[in-house]
Amino acid sequence: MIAEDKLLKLVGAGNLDREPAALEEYSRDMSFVNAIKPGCVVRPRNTADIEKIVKLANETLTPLVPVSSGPPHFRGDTVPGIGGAVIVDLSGMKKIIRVDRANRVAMFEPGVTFSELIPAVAREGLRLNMPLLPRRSKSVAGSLLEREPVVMPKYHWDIGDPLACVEVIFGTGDMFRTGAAAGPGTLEEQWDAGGAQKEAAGPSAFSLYRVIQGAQGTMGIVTWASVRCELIPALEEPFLIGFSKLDKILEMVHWLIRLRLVNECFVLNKAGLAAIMAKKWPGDYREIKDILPPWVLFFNIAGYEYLAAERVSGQVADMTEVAQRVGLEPVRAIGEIPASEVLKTAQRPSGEPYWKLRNQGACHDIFFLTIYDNLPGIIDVMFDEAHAMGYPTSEMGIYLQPIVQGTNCHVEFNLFYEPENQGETARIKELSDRAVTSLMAEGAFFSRPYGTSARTIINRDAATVAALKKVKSVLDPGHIMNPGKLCF
Amino acid sequence: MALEDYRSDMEMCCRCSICKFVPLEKLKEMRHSYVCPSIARYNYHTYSGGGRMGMGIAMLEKELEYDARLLDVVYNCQMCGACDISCKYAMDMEVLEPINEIRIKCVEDGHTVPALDKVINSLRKQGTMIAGSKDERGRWSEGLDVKDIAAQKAKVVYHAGCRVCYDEDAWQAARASVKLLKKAGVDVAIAGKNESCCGGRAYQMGYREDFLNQAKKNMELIKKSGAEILVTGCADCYHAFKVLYDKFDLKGDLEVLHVTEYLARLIAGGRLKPTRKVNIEVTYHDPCHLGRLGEPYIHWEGKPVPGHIRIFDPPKEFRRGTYGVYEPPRDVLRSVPGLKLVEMDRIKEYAWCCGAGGGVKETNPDFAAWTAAERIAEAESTGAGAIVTACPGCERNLKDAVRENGSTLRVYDIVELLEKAI
Repeated sequence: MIAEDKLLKLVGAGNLDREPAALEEYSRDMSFVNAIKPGCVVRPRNTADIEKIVKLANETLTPLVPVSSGPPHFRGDTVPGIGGAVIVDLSGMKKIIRVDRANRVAMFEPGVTFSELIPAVAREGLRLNMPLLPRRSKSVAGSLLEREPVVMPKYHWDIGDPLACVEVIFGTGDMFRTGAAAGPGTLEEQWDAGGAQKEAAGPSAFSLYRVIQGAQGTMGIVTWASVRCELIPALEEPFLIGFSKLDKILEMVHWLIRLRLVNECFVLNKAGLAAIMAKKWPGDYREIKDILPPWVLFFNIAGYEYLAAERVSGQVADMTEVAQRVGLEPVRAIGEIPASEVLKTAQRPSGEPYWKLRNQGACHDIFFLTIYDNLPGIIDVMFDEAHAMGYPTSEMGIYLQPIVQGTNCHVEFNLFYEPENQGETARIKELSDRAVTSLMAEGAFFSRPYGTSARTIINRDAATVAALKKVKSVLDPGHIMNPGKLCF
Repeated sequence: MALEDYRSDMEMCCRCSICKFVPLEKLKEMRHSYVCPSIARYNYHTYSGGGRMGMGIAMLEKELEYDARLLDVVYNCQMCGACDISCKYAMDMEVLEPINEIRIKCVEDGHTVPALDKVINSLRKQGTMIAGSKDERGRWSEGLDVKDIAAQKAKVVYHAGCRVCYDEDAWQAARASVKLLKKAGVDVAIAGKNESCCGGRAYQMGYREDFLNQAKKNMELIKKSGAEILVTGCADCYHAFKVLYDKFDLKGDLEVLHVTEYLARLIAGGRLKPTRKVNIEVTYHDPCHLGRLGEPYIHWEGKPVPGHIRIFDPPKEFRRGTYGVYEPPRDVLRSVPGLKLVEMDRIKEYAWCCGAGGGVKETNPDFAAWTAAERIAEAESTGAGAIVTACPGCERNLKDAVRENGSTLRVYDIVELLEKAI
């Protein structure tokens, strides 16, 4: 354990916390992982602080748990895996370093949240390719590092997008910049030379961002990240399509993305859309859910600076023809839910309280990647497991997000439950454990394994585990970075 | 329309060969990738949709002489429309229409085959495409207490079709259909021995004038009866009444429903309640004329806009099989307690033909049997104990294939299973 006086000297009294209440807060989250109290919470102010903390941790073999988002946490990755850990709370590092309109890229520290970065980039005529309604306290860098799916598959070229570059202090204490930011020269020198830290790959064939993404803080601590931004459209025309059968909805999604007609594009079941759109609980939620068809596809057609109206009108005509081919009817509103409201909602973080908590107070998500063909079978499996555990499938939120140009799909089941009800909580945990195993057998690829299911998922591939451990031994030989997570 | 009117469609063909297969995005299994029986069987490009486009142009250009080889290609096609629908997954061009026009041209030029001439002679003399006398036509309904449309007014007329009238194996489903409609309180009548062939098969064989004669006769009878809805259990008849009659502006306001559509409505409305368990695992064969060819006809009048890209003024909406009747038959099956439905690889728009259509069963029974055997093998691969369909023509050909191939698969019409449950 790092001596308290050394940490105090490093970050100052105001940035070190040993209060029982604070330690209690970081000892658990809303997932099912065991509660383990950290030794202290330290709040670094800059990269230099972080470098020193990592050096001290290596000297004393003290576990470090990086945390960038504010509470509530959901996935168990910020709860210490072993006792005596130091929480490295980065939420105070809120500097927006640069917004580059010409290159459509923004650079910022890990404590910057969506509600802070959105207005900053908007001032330059830019916007973010957002995950669907992140909570207000969610760190943008955290979201990018977790590879949260984004709502505009048209601008999603690689599974790592829209993350561009990062600066990271590895477990060795070495600082490294990934992608175009790797060099040569300092950031300032790169800017002077017209560099923008936008290319994620590199240096050369050494794309370390792929190791850092999804690592849940087990490789190092990111001190800034850059993100690819998109232009704010001059004109937008959003649509909804409701239908009882998922196959037609998926056919429509396939064509919309293949023909590159739409920006935002995602599918929700009626419980999911009602949970997002309800303003008053539970009246609104029930009312909306009752009028919605089982599946709703949302998409948005946009025009930009030049010939916006002409572009939108042409693309709407093309989209209408696709819909006719598929046998679906795009509308501007379903019941009291206008597509324009869904668009507004999807372009900003969730209101407070967080939408997943409004329903019953807690929510456990099961999420993975798959291809469209597997979806009907996967949903049947999930429903069978829910039935077996007595969970009402009609109350389960389902979110389908096409990603990487629609080549595959993020699937998310939202299991809403009452956290005070211990029986129900235990039932959700058991349902989750059972479902993960059954879903894997049906073709679900859990690319982001978290919490109690992580080992079940990752242990299916012994060769990958061996390779990951080798990488970890190079980047974090002292095993100080968030031990106990993934396969480490 | 004539073959010449489809010249630009035929010239659109770029020999991509999509017309031969299930589109890649819809493909579920390599071994079931063919969608066109003709190319799958004969493996020579001219037998495919695209090959027939080239053949049509050559006929227009008078580069092809009529001979036995040409007629072999022309008539070894079930007119199932699978090439048309697969092509239209990516293209905007007609394929089945020009193929039909090629046949019409052959008939008009006097180049037919004896087997089909025999069928058409029967149609002209007896009003039926299946061998049998006119007096025998109403035998399937003997003992059924049902109105005769010639003598009594009714809102709904049930059209049995030639296959039902002269194939005793198909009687049970037709009789069950009438009984179920009556049980649900539907005011239904039949034409009995006064019923006549719909003419649809004649049209697809190329005998347009014979089709039009039949269509006019039928619509006269229906108009006189005052019936508002025509219900049939035959997919061929359904396609003729709903699509072809409309194409030639003969349908008027007549509502045409396949019996599975009507039964699905009655079940959904609570007027029929399947309660008895029928413990069986089945797979459903989409009849071509109910599925991809069963979607409404789209009237369009316009012209291509001159230029490099083929577009139309006004924009032309193509029939792509999207609005075929796919769900009502499945809804009826799902309503039967104890019944489990498993799907084959080629379904709905991309269903493999039973093999009997387009006159093939008459001109080339071996090809019809081969096509059905392929479907039976596909059905067996699902593990189902039975294949269910919604057309007596499909049922006949599939039953023959089961018998000839020693399969243990049972073959049912949907209505037979529904009757067991009620």
